[in-house]
Amino acid sequence: MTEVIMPKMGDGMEEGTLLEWLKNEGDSVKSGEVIGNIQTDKAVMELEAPGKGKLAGILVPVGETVPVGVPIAALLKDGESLPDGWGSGAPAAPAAEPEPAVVAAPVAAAPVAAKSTGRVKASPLAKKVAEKAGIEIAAVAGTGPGGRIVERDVRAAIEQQSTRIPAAPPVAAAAEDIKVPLNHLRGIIAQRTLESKQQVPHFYVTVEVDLERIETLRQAFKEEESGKVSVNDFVVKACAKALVDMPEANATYGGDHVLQFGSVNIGVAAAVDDGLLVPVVKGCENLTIRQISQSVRDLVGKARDGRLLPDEMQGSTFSISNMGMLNVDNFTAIINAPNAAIVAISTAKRVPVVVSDDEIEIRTVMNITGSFDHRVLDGASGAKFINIIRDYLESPTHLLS
Amino acid sequence: MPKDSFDSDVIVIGAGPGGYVAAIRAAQLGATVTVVEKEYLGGTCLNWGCIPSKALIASTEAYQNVLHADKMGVKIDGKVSIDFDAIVKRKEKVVTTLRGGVGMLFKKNKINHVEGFAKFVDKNTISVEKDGKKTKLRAKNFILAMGSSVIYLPVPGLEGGQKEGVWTSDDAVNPPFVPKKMLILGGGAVGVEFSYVFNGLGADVTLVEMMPTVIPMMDEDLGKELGKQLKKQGVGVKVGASLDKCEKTKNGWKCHVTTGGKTEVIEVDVVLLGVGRKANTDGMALDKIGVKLHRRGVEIVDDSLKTHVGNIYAIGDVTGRIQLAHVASAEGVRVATNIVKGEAKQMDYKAVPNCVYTVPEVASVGLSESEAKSQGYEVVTGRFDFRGLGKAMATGHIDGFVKVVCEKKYGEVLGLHMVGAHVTDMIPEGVAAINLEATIESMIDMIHAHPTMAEAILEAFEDAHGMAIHK
Repeated sequence: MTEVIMPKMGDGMEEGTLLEWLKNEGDSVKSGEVIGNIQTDKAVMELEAPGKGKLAGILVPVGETVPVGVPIAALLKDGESLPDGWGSGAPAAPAAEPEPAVVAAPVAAAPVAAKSTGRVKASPLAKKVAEKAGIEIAAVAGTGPGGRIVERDVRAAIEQQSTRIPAAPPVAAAAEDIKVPLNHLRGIIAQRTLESKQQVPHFYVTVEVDLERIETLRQAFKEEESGKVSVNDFVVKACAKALVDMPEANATYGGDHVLQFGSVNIGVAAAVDDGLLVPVVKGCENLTIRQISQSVRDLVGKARDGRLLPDEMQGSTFSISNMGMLNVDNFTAIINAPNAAIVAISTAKRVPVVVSDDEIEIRTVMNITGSFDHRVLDGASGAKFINIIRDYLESPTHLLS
Repeated sequence: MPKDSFDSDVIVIGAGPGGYVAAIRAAQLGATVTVVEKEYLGGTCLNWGCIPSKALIASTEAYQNVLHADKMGVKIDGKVSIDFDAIVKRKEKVVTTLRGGVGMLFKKNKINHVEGFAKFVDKNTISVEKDGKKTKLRAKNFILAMGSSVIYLPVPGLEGGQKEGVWTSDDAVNPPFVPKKMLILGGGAVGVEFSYVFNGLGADVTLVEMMPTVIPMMDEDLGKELGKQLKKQGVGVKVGASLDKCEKTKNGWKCHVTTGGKTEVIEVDVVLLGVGRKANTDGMALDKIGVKLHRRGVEIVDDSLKTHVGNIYAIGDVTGRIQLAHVASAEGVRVATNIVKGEAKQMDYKAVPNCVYTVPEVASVGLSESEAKSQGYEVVTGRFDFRGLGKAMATGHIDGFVKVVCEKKYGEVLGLHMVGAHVTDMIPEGVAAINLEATIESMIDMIHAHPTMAEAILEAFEDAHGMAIHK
């Protein structure tokens, strides 16, 4: 018998929802044949048969979410039958890391967030409820005897996550409150941003960038056959170069060490219909601005069409959040853990600027704000890093190499 | 006396298992405490309830063990009989010893014990009457722990007291004789325990219970099993039955009992009323000072056990809620702590064990299967019969079983229900499991000593998990 388990289709995947069985019990399937569809955190993936045989003993009905590694069905060879008690047992020990179905990112495999390895004082029920709700039990505050985490604490944490959606502004008393259930992506965003804000000590540094030269260059690009390059592309390239110059910002906190990545993989936050996705441009240190521009356009397009592969959203070493098109003066971004930094890009605007010779000129400027993990970088390093980016953006010819 | 001077920080009214425990805890925490008791220290539990009945049950069981000693290969030549006076004397000695123990604990903790009947003057003052003499006592806080008393359930035609052959549980723990024929009304804990005792001591007992099983407050499977065991011992168990009326005869009563539409007349010497208790709140002027009463006793505001008067708390039977000695004690500790430490912590009634001391014993904690289902849980149960255990076979205690009730998704332990030998001593495992939020998986990870009766608990959890070893 071959067990069909919920496969791990990427590093960040912890559970999957069975969307559809494409084969019925009793159907013969070949190894690698697609037998169902699975919704992961971010995308719909095909479930491939891990061997050949007859599909049997389906344990997970359509719509159910189970952790990675849990048996969901079996494949039987001729003459085999399901073992007694099939499906009644405990899920396979989650410690047994199943082989990732997708090849992990190169060099800079996404580092796992430093998990507390010590004993967590929690009731068995609290652990179970947290596990099923996808909550990191160690992050829950315990109210039981001696700070023990009990069921109500986990329930409260789940509640807190779900109420973190900005509520509709209070309006006329006649309007009724509407409870909008979380979609899957919303839930993931809620969990990730909460974890980052709670676990990563953020600090922020803002600078104003003069875009005059970039605007001139963009005009030049526009006139070329190969087409437009956006401010965002310049920013990605500037960040890539800054990260090469300052590898301490291209890093992650590892509990007892800081891991500096060999490769620069930049996550570019993209708004999609029901939330936010962060596709990753990999190997930015080796890409020209044109290549970056192409890559970002492809990935963001895929994200908006829901076609991103899990691997295209993993392995970032640094992230950028751009609200340039949203007419904002300045904002700060939440670090995309386990990255050590993120840069927030605001809208470019025409303002009077004091230039050399104490004269005032109208120029195009924009604010950029870096958010840094204080466990990895101190204020001076953050300031240095954000100024390197500014220097590149104000001297954009360096970005054309 | 100046208005803000008090004799004590806390006055506890009633020295039963609720009151005396509350008093000791308050004293341990540094409060000056006075306990007012109108009768005996230890209350119902120690004087007319838990303890004396257990003493009678122990004598009965000893007698039965001797009668059936041949099963264990012990031969008895000559006549085996009971000395009823000696049984009652032994019981009395147990009670007086324990009562003295409570008095010693009061001395040790410097608790002021005042005898008499308390009546409220205002929310900080009581007047205690003893032999016509009244004394005023003032305190910052009061704990109402007066308990409850038996009442005579009205049965048409049935009148009189012990002399007329109408007993309550108070009479049954001080029995003047073993009746030849006896009808016990009510198959709750009191009814089944006295059925075991008087049947075991030679009476011809009929037990009448209105509900479809005896001990109807517990999981249905337990009542079915206990009913079967009592029948096997010779008790005339009538469930789904009612006592319609009684007629006085020369030596006792003719009882009209209807079971499933059929009425029969049963002649007995004694009718024992095993149901009905009433909170002891009369004549205390509680309503005058603002303490609200409901039909069953003192009304409390919430599970911190405050009454409608902020400095007055109520615990135990007097609240008309759960009438169990151990609940009263736990409430007493909670309230004493809340008062002295200025806290407002609430009682948690999720894991209240309930025990019945028949042979076989019955013990239960948490939700029964039907309660769990009606509360919307998706339920998974496990069951293991004691006969599958080495210890049960070796000791000849093969009757009964363990049943566990769990929630399906997380495996949360919701209830543990047992009938069999020693199960009342095994119930704390269920209390701990529920209080500590154990799951099926965490229970089956625990090593259970072999050979013990408690192995059946492990096996029942394994069964809920789909794989009991010895089933």
